Amino acid sequence: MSGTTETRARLGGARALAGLLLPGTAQIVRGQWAAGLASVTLWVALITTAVWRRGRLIDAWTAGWDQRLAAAGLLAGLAAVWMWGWWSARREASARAGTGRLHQMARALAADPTALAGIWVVGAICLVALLAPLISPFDPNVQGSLVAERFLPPSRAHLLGTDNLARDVFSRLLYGARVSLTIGLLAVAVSVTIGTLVGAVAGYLGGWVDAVVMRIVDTFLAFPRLVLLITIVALFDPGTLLVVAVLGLTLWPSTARLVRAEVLALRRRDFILAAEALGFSRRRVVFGHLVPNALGPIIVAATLGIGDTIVLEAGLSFLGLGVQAPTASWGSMVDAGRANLLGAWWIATFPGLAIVGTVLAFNLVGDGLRDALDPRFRA
Amino acid sequence: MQSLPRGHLSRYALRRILGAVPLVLGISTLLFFVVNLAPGDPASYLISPGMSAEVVERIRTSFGLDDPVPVRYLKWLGSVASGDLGQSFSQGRPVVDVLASALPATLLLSGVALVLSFMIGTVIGALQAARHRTAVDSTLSFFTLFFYSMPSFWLALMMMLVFSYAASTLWGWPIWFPASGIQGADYEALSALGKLRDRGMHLVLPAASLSLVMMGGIARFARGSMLETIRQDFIRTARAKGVPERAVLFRHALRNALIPLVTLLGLYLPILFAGTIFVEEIFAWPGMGRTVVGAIQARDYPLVMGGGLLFAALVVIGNLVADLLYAFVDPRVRYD
Amino acid sequence: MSDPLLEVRDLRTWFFRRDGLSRAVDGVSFDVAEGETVGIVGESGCGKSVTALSLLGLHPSPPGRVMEGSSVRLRGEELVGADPSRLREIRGRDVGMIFQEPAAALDPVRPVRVQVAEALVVHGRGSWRAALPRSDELLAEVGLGDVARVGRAYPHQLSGGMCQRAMIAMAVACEPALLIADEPTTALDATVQGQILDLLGGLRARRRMSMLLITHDLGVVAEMCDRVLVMYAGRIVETGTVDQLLDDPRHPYTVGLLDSLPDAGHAGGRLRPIGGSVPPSTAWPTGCRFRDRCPHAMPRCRSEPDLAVPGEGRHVRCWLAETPSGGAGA
Repeated sequence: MSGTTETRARLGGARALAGLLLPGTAQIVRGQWAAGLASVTLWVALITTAVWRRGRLIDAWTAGWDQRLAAAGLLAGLAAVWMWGWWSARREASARAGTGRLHQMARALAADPTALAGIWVVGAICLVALLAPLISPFDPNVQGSLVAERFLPPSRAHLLGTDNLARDVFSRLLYGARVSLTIGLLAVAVSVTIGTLVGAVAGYLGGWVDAVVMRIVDTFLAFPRLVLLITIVALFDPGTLLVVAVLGLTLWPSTARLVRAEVLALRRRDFILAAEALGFSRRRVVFGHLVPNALGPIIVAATLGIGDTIVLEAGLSFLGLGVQAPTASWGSMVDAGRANLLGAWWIATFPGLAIVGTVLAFNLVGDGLRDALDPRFRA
Repeated sequence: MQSLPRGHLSRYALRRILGAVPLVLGISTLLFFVVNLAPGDPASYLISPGMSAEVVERIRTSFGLDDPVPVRYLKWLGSVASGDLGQSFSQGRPVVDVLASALPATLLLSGVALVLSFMIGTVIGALQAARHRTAVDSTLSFFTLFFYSMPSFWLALMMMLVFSYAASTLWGWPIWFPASGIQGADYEALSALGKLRDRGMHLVLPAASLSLVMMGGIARFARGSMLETIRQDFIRTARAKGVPERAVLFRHALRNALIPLVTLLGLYLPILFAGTIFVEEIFAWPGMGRTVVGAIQARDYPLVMGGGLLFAALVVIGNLVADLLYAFVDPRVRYD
Repeated sequence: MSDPLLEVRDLRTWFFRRDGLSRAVDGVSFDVAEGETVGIVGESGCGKSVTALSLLGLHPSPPGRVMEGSSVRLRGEELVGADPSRLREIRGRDVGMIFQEPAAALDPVRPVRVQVAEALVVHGRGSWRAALPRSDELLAEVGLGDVARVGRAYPHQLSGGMCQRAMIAMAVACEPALLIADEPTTALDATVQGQILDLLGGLRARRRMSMLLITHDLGVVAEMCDRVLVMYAGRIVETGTVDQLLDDPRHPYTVGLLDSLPDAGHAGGRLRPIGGSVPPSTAWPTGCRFRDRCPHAMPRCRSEPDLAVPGEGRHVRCWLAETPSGGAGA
């Protein structure tokens, strides 16, 4: 008896030590593959970057905000992974079986290989976006010699070639991820917040409030969103903030409609009637009961919305109405490749592939979430 | 229980058309406030440096920029209602004329793309549902998701690169497609058959780019709708009375699964027109999308707004058509 | 005695689901003779409907599968593993089927008469042109009197009872030898239930059909059936004639079913529902599957009894059935 206890203690110690050196190993040993592998991969990626780009990591503090943010992000990431690994390894595995609807969704997601693949790709793109200043081989905006370095095909020096202004396409691609992700996430956050508020209030109050709000929503939905976007952006001065605001302020109607439908369906359910019968305030019923129960569909719509928004942002940039030069954005990079499509195909091709890959990954995650919510149509 | 004479359909249609009026009003309002909320004097946007004083004066009066906002709003509604969308600066013609000359090309392109994408999308979705949980299903799922995730402008460029430029100059394929315009330079000299062929060849790449992107979404929806239908009791009934599997799928399941797809038709028009804007711009297709993009680059705001309004009107009309079609394909819709 | 019309031997229909293996039907054997009406009773989730569906391969598949060793013979012809096109010929022509939710069981976008006619057309009983008038006759036969109006109506324009009549017209269109009715009256109003049962009874007499009637309603069984099979947890636990079963139930489960009827006169007039509920089909109990809910459970019940034979044509799957006083009473 005491022998096994001792062995187990020693094993626990070894596991903890491994966890300190390589966070995630303890979880893998225990059978928590998804979390463990993610943790190990992230740790290795961050450490490799830090060692490989140690010069830049040190110089970053005296360079611009981009570099400083990336360096801080890398260190914070390392610290977070390490602390998580240590903390999680000490807990009992059984202590973490949640029963809520969101927990169930998460568990169904973890059992879905295509959704998991999507999550890994999204994670990788986020990492690349964060670390772009540290890992990019060239400065994305510095032009090379227009005589000697323009339109260079992909090579060892320039992995994806150079563009019409002799800039490194690969480096610009890495920086472009920042634009797409930032705008996509921010705009969706704005629109989901507005849409949830409006939809929940309209659905709960009903009556003329609902009628007026839904008329507005219908108007927005009938209007081709891109036409509205380019009209607005063309009237104002294009810029990142404007793009976020405009994308966010034009996407909310579909969320509002979704949330309203959910709220209308939930309203008639017993637990809402019970909450009302107990004399809960309206605000408490809406935001304490209705919205949390509609959270699943909202998350699904938001995830799929990120993909749509990234495509729209790229489209605006393609038309020259998005993020302004010289900041690299995937849409404007594709535009830059139009002029010499046959001679320098790599300029337009690779940013487009980046868009497809990113959007595909978000859609895989969104599909996975939807199936987790409603498993009938599982592929 | 009552019988449903088709005469009710026209009354239903009329009511739906009247119901669309507030929508058009709302869209006009939205456009008006977008323009008037822009910072600074709208006139500074409406006037470009090279303009004569006479033109400037005409613009000022046509927009009534000296009036207070509510008055301007009513005037704008009035002029829209009477079909007057103002004067295009960049083309020196009334906006209505510019749009009228661009509309047919857009309707041709988007119509072909709409029909193609719905046909192919539905067939793929139905096939996936019939082969649910097989390799065919998952392969097609990835394929449709791939196109669904693709920006139409990039697909258009890639189509152009491969099937026009590379096919003609690099690889010397026997068939390649023209990369720009709606007809060739020698169009007038061609025979009637040659003209048709020329038009067709010019249509291939733009229509393919547009419909492939839409097809992805439609196939995904059709698959879901079909799977939902196949689970229903009446499918089991059809099998129980000995209907062959193929007829179960096509005569019973597909017919029912198509009903929600009609609604999707209305929802897809905005997406279709967004795609049209890019694809027309890339393939130099002389339609509304290209006109609007040109107007933005020229800062020709009356034309931008007019184009926006027309696109919105097309969406509203499309939704009306979808509504009526829905009433036609689903006997359960009651016309009241 | 001549060969039975339908012979089912050791039918096992299992569902290979994500949450585990569901042995919904697990070794069911019975016969249906020519002209005989056999009832299958039991609570929801006992495998009655799956039994009915898998006779003709209509169970959802995947995930459902009729397992190796099962046998369903119709007039001696093996249907398990039969060619799909052969099965299709038999469905609707030799065996008709009606279901629980008549409104959902009809195609919503086709007029009723077209759906009835389709049953004729797919079995080569004439062209559409000939089948449509014939379908009007069939609709008249099932009591949808105003045929011109009803026949051209869509299912959503008909009441549940009318839909069920239309379903019956469709099921008997090709004069099948066997009609499988899966809870045909459950979803209907009480007054309509009686009419539908009368209709079925009349058709059965006129056409000399055999019937397999699936129901949880012992009243329906008493009215319609010659013989009864009681199913519990994917197994048959008791068989016998209607009189034997109602007057002298031997299996504690049958006793429980009868006791939970409001008018169960024989047991002292008090309602005594069976405690607990049917276990999930992914986790049938070992041994006697009724053990957990049985008032007479004893150590011996840890092994499952065979279908014991206490008398002529009478089988009970209970250890108590071997003693004459059996599972009846207290």
